[in-house]
Order: sequence, then C-alpha cells, then structure tokens
Amino acid sequence: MRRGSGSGTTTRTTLGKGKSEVASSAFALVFSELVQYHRARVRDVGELERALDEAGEMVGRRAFEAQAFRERGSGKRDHRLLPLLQFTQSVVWKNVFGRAADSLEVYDDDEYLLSDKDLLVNRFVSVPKDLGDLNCGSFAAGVVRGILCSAGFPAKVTAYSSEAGPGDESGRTTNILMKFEKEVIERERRLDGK
Amino acid sequence: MSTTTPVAGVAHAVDARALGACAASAMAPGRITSVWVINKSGGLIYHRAFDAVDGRGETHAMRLDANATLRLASVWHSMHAIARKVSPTRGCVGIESVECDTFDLYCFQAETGTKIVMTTTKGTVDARGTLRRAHQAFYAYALQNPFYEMEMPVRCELFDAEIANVVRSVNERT
Repeated sequence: MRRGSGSGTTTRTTLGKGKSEVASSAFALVFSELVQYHRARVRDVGELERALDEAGEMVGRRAFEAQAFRERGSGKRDHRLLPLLQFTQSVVWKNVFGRAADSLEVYDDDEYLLSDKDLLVNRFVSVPKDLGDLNCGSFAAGVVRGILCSAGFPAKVTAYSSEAGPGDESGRTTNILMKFEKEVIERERRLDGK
Repeated sequence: MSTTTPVAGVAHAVDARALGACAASAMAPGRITSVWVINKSGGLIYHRAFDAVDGRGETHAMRLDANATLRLASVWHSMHAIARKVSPTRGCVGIESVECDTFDLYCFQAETGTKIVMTTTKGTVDARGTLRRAHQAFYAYALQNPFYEMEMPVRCELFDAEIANVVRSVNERT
C-alpha cells in the first residue's frame, strides 16, 4: 500500500478509471435488499420513497465526485446548469445505471425533466397494489439531488412513472423532475448576461 | 442433432409414411397450454393456462380449478422426487418430460429446487430453451423484485408479461 507512505502521492496520482461494469442482476439483488430493508422500517409509501431518496443522495454525491475527477482529471466542475445536467444524463447515468438516460427536457425555465425508458432500478420491479403509486425511481431522484446539491444547484427532485404511448413497446418510462431553487435560476440569468 | 445426413432423412421419410397421419401431426409445432412454477416444498406458486390453437385450427385449453392445480402440482413434486430416489444410476435430475397421447409435459428443476413445468400439445417444441427462458423470467422479475417474498405465490405483472412473451414466441411459430 503506497497510500500510507506519507509521501503525498495520494493527492498527485490520478484517480483510476474504476470498474464500470457490474452484473445487472447483482445490482438488482442489492437494490432489492435495500428496498426490503427500508420497507420493514417505515410506516407508509411516502416514507419509503424518502428513505430511497436519501440512500440515492449519498450515491449521487459520491458518484458525482468520482466522475468529476475521472472525466476532467483535475476535478474541474461545471458551474453552469446545462452542461452539468448533460454530464449527469450521459456520464454519471452511464456509470451508475449502465446506460445514458434517454432524454433531457426543459419546462418553464426552472423545471427540467430527465427520462429513462428502462431505468435499472425499475426494470425488475412490479409494485403490488397495496403500495399504490410507489416508485423505486425515487432512488434515482435521490442520485440526481445528490449531484445537484453537491455541485451547488439546490433543487427539489421527484420521480414519477409514465406509461409508454401507443405503438411504443419500451414499457414504463421513469421521469425525474427537477425544480430548481430561485437563486439557481437567477444566477444562471446573471451568467447569461441578461 | 442439428445436422441430418441424407441417409437419416430417407429413413425418416419411410417412418413417416409408415406411421401415417400420427407422425405427420407430430412434426407440427407444439403449442404451450400451461406454465407452472412449483417451489421447493411442492407448493404451486404460479400457474397460467393458455388457449393454444394447433395447425388444424383446433383450440386446446386446460380447464382446471384452483384446488386441482394445487393438488396436481404437489403430486408432480412428489413423483419427481420419487423418480430421483428410485433411479438406478447416479446423477438423476428427476423427470424431464412425460409424453402422453394427447399432450406432452416438460419439467425443469433449478439448483434451488424450484421447478418450472409446462404442458404442450403434441408436436415439436424446444422444451429446454423455453423452460430456460421461463426460469430466467422467474429469476429476473420475481426473485429480483423487492416486493416478492421467497417461496410465495408470484404476483408480479412484469413476470406475467414476460411469461406471456415466451409463450407467444412458441405458440406463434409456424
């Protein structure tokens, strides 16, 4: 272990590329256990979604940190909203969920929507009727929230599902809705020079 | 298995002529009429029957009530276990198929003791491949589903959909 040698090499060496591939079934089983763990400790659907959201936030903060270092070398980060979201959609999503998210859309300036037609955390999940509109995508929403918060773009992030339209056989789409705080939007405007 | 020598082909043609219509219908694709999943203690955890239309346009359907299916599943589980015990050779995996006059039954037992069983009309079916796909569906959409309790009845819409897909891919062959 060279890390403990005290010569300061830890800060100078670049971060390894990391292993980007894990069997999807291994991930699915761990995630399944995570949901079951929290389910036994909450009273209702809302609490369960919050618990998943919080678990995801921790993942998001760490994944973003690691990816920022890997991709940019020096750990340089985006200070503008759109590049950050694109970075999330492509690089982070690919590393956390195995594929880039399908689309990124803007609504009313301060609302952004990230959608994934086959989100890994929802791929194998059938929610029983007694849990109503529970969406395990809350975990992904938490991941996004963790990224945005640690990058300095506080936002409210929620997940909801939508059924595919007729003729589309992709199944359920998971949508992650981000509503940014006022200060973020104002800062963006200022930077735009308006 | 996949390559047929000309000699074997001739032999087969002679056989088919000798056996007449019976052999001809045996060459038609078989249709799946039901899929069962039996847990390791012999309990039925999934059962679904399908209406299968054969080459002559006749519909085959299995009509069993819920209690009958439970009973048959547990009988099959016992028969399967007995077959393994009484086998004169080592390494017997139990009954893999049963061929009857009017239908065939195929069974696959996973390492965990879960059995996937399907019944088909008479005819050719890639039983191994189909059972394997059904087992994969069980693994993916039931075992990896956080809301599925082990050894309990499977009520997962994604599993239902995948089983329907597997059956459709077999039943719509021509």
